[in-house]
Amino acid sequence: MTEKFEVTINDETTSVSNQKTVMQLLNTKNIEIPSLCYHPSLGAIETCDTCIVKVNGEYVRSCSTTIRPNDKVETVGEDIHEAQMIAMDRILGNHELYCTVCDFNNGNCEIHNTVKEMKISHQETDHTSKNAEVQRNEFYRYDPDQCILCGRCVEACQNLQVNETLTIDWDLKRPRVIWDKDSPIEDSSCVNCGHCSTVCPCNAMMEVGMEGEAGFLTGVKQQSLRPMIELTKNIETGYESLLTISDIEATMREERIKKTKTVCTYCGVGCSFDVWTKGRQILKVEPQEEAPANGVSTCVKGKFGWDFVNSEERLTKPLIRDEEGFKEVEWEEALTFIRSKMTEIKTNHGPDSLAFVASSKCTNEESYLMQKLARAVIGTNNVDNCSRYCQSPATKGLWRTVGYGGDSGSISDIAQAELIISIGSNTAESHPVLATRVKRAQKLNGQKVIVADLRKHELAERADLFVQPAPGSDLVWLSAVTKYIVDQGWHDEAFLAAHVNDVEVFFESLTPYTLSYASEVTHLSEEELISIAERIHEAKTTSILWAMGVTQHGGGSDTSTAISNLLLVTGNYMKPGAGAYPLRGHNNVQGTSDFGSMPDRFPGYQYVTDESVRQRFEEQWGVDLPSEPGLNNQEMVEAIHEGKLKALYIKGEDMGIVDTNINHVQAAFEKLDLFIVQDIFFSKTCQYADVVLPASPSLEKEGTFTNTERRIQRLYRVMEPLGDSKPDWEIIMAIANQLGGDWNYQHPSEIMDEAASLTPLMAGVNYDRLEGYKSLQWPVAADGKDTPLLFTDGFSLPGGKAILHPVKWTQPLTFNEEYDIHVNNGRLLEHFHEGNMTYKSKAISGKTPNVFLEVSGELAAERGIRDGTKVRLTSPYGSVRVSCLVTDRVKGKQVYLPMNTSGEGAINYLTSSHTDKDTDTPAYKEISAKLEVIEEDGESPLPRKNHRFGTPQPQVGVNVEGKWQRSDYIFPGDLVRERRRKHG
Amino acid sequence: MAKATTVIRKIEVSPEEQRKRELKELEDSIVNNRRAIIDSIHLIQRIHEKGILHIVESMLGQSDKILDRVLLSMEHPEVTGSIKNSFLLLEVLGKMDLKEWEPMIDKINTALTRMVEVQQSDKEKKEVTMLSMLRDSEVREGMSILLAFVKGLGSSEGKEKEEIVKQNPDTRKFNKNWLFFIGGAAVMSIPLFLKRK
Repeated sequence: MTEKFEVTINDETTSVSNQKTVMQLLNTKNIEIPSLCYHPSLGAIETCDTCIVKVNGEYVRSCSTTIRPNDKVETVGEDIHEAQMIAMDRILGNHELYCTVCDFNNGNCEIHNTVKEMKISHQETDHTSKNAEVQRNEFYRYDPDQCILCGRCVEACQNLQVNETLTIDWDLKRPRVIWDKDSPIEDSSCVNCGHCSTVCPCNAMMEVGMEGEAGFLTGVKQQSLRPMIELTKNIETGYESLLTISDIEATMREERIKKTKTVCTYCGVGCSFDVWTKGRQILKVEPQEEAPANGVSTCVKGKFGWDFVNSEERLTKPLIRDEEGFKEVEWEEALTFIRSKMTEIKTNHGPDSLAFVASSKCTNEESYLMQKLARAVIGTNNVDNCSRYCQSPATKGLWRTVGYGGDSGSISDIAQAELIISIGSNTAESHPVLATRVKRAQKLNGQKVIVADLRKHELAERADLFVQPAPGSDLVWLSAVTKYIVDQGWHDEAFLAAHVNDVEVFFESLTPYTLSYASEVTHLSEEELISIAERIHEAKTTSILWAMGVTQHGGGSDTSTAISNLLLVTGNYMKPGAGAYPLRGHNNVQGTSDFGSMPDRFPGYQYVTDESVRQRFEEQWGVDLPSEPGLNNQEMVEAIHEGKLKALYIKGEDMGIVDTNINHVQAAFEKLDLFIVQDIFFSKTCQYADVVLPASPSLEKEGTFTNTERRIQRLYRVMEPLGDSKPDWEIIMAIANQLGGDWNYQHPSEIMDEAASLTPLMAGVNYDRLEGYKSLQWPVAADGKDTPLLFTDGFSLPGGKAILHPVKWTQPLTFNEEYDIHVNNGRLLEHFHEGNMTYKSKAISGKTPNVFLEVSGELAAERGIRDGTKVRLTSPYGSVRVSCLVTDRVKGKQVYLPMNTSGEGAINYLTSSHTDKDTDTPAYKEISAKLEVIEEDGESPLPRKNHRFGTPQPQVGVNVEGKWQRSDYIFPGDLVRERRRKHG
Repeated sequence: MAKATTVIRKIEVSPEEQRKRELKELEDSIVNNRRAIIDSIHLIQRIHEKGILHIVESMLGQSDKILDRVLLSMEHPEVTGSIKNSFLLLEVLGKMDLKEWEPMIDKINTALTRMVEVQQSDKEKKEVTMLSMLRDSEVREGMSILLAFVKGLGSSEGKEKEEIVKQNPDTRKFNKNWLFFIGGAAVMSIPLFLKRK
């Protein structure tokens, strides 16, 4: 509720609405107050004391003081200025002003700017060294002598990223930031997410990419630099001159350093940030507070994982296969070859003998063009994308029950939910920035977290309730909990009556799912099941997050449906903080399907079988379109084996390593008459190609990505394409034009305009509305109104009502007794999938050089396994060789094999061709194997400098009380009052 | 049947072909920028004639050593003191409003003329009593100016300074910054001419 009251600011009465801090109030009135520790994304930290003002005659920190009715605020006056100056002087005692030779002098140094604004000419407290070593690793470095102890980095680490590595040791003679228990960075639990260097107001915590590179003079040798600084200090007569020179130098830097907004190319969270570049050299990634999905947050990949862009291994020329292997050719030759082969195959075998696979790494516009190429130019619906490997079951579950296959709300809804249930999702590693919102809400705001997973991953460790169901049994416990809730009368009757159909039939379908049955199948105790039900009942809002642990099973769509059913029964839709959140894995896995790279749907999920829809596309494209749904990824592989599919064009997808049962897939590739692979690297899949086309990664092109929140965001070109590589949309257009497409797009915005004009779901999407950090969450009406909360008035099903869809449990695959090890698999924080991007980062690879197999203590003891023991896992479909790491993250005979390699440890040599019965999504998680020790002794696959060996030190924020309790600390306001008292 | 292969043969560009391409690139660049290049050549010619190119070349060649020596020679307190003093003097000059001083200078001139006249006049005129002098309006005006000057000397400098900032902060900043910029830039720009690591 809005509360309005009056206050006085510098003798002027003003009206205030809502409770806010004095600083927030002053900001709205454009009254500037110095502030150094305050950061809008972190809130009041209270360490710097520079924002002191007077409220009702008392000196207070304006950042943390709540304004109340009739308060009398004073911001000017000699005494207030004096108090602020005392605070600032203490800061300058900790930070040396050598701005012109500082890499942080880019117009955004907050100390520089505050000194300038306060017209400070001299300091009383001389700058002195803290006599502590500079801390550094290959990602960032900390210079204690430049650190003002504002604590922003600690606040970000403890309360925003919630990795809980950094603290300030206030008990030291000269306090400074420390890692864990004062370890070197490399021995600590630091995950190199970069929050600390992003929020640092100065050059204390800085990305190493900036060092000696950002300024014109910052590369001067250290031996000359120090005398230069001393000389400047000796001859300066006041800081104004120094600041003027450094301001000019900072302005000069703007000419040389380019700052370009982009959207991260890794996971589905959709982090956006500025990339600072000098030519092709990346100096740093600078997230912005205005970034809608992530604010100032990043993970190690988004912040530091961009070396691949300049890798020497990048493809820079098209390749054509000949008798001896591949030869580099010019574009013209490659395109002519493709035209002749495609035309020949289409003429001889018909359009359905060709198939197309779009990429979830590429843009929406590129997905649109890929399906347009397939449908309009070739005349086939054989087009799909990698969501077939991951998220199709989740989408299916939501289509069945609520009508839209997307997250119910935004990441902010996840943060504000009273209860989070995470099922089969290693979200702290797979969607690190999204997970920070859960960790923060739990740590600071009392959010409750239930985790259901096989493996004790980070979120599981933090959970209020962690349950470990038997593999593939989630549907059973979800249904049992739903039944228990109904039996207790805890279901939301009013919501069901108003918004949901088929309630009674569904309730009846729950009959078999008694607590005892569920307990027997899932191995969860009845108490655990009841506890889950009770927590859902007690929470006003519940959001359920799920991922591949649910979807990659024979019954993945049904389990996703069961999740949505539970949410409907408890009324957890149509309100902020509640709903279904299938966490999308790739940067644009959502958008690739949204924009039509699906065998049965046009963009916006319009059926190819719908004549009126097809007619609209036919009119726009000027061709007749096929009306029968095409082949999905899995069916494509089978069709190749059957000899029906002759040509395959894959872009940005290492299908030969990421599909299941890859021996089978690779054998299919060998049978193709024409195999075109478009990628930025020579991937495993490329090895089977006839033509390889060099594409450009996200930093080298424009377009849009859609994140897990259905949020469409623009990326801008950071640098020109490397060598002769080209953005995918240009390549697809070139191929289409070889085949008579007559396309003439000059810019991706024109592609989006065309797509939006044909797609009611995206009607109002255009580049102007997405400029800079602006974004839109679909559905987007023609007037540009978007939909952050997906369901407000009703559901996207007939009559606006949701449907409770009864489901039955599909038992997971069973294996012979010899295959006694259950092989769980998934992501790691620091590498992305098969790792062709992240292994190019020397810094990341240094921390995590290889894939490894997590083995439980019990299994290790039974089989004589130690860290570094090399084992062979053999399933009925193939085998892998990998080194072991003994850990309590897994239990019993369950092992965990991260998917981060395309070598001999690649998980998909083990997986089968078994799929989800409704969507054909491979059942990656249903695999058992036998384990043999090959080499007993070996080096641990994980170096000691990996963060997993660190010892985090949780505390709330920076613990400013520690500073205030120091004997040498006096609040500047008290000091001023005392001086005034003494001197009258 | 396409078996997996990792063999890739790069397009071989012969050194002659590579050279031909690069020369063509260079030629295009020259033609496209011919006016600027011709002007630059004239400028370089002048610099060359004055022998400056040799000086700069030598300086760049020994940049690290030179920078160290310059910095070492400037580290003496006398040197830094004199640089600092020169900045301060510049600051003082900047604060003087000579326009306002003009009438005062005229008056001092007049006073000096009178003084000379008195020195050269008759003895009787020199013996005018103090009393009659105090009655003279010019004498009274002169004394009031001197008293104002004395009062000015006794005023608190800090307070006056703050007043000036409050009344016209921009003027003060402008004067000072430009003076300092000239001096500071001279020092700070030394390394711009020297080699970076």
